[in-house]
Amino acid sequence: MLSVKNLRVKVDGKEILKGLNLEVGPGEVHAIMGPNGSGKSTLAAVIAGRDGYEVIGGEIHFDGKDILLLPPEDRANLGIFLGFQYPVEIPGVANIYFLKAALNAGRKFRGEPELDAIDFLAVAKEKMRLLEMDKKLIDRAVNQGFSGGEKKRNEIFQMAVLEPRLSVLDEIDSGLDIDALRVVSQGVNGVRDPKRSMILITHYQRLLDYIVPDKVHVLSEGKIVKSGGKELALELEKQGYTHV
Amino acid sequence: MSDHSLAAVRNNAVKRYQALGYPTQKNEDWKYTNLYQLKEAKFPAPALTDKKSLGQNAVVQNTLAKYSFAHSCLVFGDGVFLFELSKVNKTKGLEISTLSEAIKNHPEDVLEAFNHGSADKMFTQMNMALATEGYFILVQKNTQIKEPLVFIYFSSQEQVTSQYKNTVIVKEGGAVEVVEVYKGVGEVYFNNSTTQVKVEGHGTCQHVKIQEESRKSYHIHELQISQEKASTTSSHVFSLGGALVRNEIDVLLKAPESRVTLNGLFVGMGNQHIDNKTFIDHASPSCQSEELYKGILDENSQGVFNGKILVRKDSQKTDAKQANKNLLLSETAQINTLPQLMIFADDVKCAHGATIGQLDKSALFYIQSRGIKKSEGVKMLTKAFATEMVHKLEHPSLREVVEGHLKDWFDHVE
Repeated sequence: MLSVKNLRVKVDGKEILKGLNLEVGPGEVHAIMGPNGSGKSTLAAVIAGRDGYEVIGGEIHFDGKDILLLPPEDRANLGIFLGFQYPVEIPGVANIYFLKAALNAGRKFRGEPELDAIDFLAVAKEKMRLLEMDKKLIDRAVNQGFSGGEKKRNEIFQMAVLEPRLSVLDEIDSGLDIDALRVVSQGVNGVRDPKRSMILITHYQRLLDYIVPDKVHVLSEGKIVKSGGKELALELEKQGYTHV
Repeated sequence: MSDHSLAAVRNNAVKRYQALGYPTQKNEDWKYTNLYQLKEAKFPAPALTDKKSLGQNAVVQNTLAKYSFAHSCLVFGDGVFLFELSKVNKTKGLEISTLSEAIKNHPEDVLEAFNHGSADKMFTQMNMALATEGYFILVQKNTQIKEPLVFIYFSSQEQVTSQYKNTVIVKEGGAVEVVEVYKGVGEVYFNNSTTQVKVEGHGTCQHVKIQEESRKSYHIHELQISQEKASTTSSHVFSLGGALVRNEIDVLLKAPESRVTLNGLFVGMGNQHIDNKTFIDHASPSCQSEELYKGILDENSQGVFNGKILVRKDSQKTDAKQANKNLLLSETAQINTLPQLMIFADDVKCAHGATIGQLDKSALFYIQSRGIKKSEGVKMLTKAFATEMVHKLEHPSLREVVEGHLKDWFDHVE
């Protein structure tokens, strides 16, 4: 599904990713762990197509298609979703209006009929229950005045509504207390299915108690230095990254 | 003894405005606005307007329909009052009349209003000298009017100058919302109007101006607010039309614990020039002022924000916030922004700032990352920037009207 080959990326003239390889198959959940500054968030940003990241070598294919030249919206509409580490506040744009526009943009892209307000609301309500989301949040401006936990919940809510085939969740666990972590994980697990893949980027093993990955990779200095099963995460927790 | 009659005051104003002459850009208050074309135009006063045909005009009828929610609505056209198109809902404690009626019924209040016009401002003096009509509102003690009073000014004749002088007096504990709508029916004309708002202790006045003049017209308006103890006022200015626009606001916080909010949204396209000049005088302690002006400028349009806040020596515990935020949608659009604080007291909380910018890049990426096209995202963010100002209006019907105008504007921009 996702194939990253020998990816090299510069940010502000400095090479951050130095030949990264990653293969994610359908239905697989991969965890990418590593110390600060190892390039984890850079990988997420480059997959999603954010400006300011200069790809100087390598390839990213999604479903066999080279996506590096596509704008972020096309990548999203092909089925790639980025869960932000710091979700952006958009004053003046209602959460519900935003999500409806996003869902219909994808449907239009795929040649499906757009959902009207009533059908959309039905979809949204079902997913809100799953995320135990406060109803008030969907009428508010996107992420504005949301607590840290509410913002992360909103990311997963969007993911649940948009039903992407590949979700890249960048430190979705940061800043969450244990209850919020449980709900967010529950939301993530709720959308797991044999066709949907996920990349979880995290510092801590804790998240992986809730969302059990198929594979764990260690990213260090711009490369994946070790890969293994879920037991690798436990090993890292005990020994730290310096022993890898 | 000198003559203090209204006629004498107005005669004096004729002399004043002629002596002052059109301000040039050497005048600090007019630094970024060139009045040459307006000065050369020399538009005379309107001819007697054909009230009947104006009343049947589609633009006039559509506009009137939009404001059917008003408590009362006085309609003016080309400098005169249009009785047939107006409706007044008689309410205890509220007097609504035209300037001509008020000159007869409230001569002292009118004279006082005329006497308080700034002596050094040419357009104010010109208005005092030549205003033909306007409205006069008196809200009696503790009378609170819930629905907005609406005043609509149509300009239909070409190459003429219409001038209105409006007065709002809110007695102790009274409350009122006043909406002025300036609507172009014709193309090239000049409207020079003033509104004076006087609010007594614990009174409230919201003033809204929805300016939809023709994009070839000149619009100059001065709003003067004077506040007594613990009174609250707000001004919301929506500048949508006009070739050359000047919104001037002067606020005097005369007594302690008074509060004022100034909100403005100006949108420009083509060669529009929109100049906003505000002055808040914190002349008393423990007063609050909050000001936010936003501009969205496209094509070759130009905007000016010149906001001054004066905190006098004895005005301790002043709380003043001022901000001007601008979005430039084209390479050739321009904004000149001059936020100024002059503080002579030491125990105050004051903040000001101005931004000129493009849209928030991280917000745009966030939108795109959800599958929405960049061009759509730009539209979404630009609208959101404007919507914030619309949401500051309390009355839902009024909000709807302004939202409709902005939608038209954005459709036009695309």
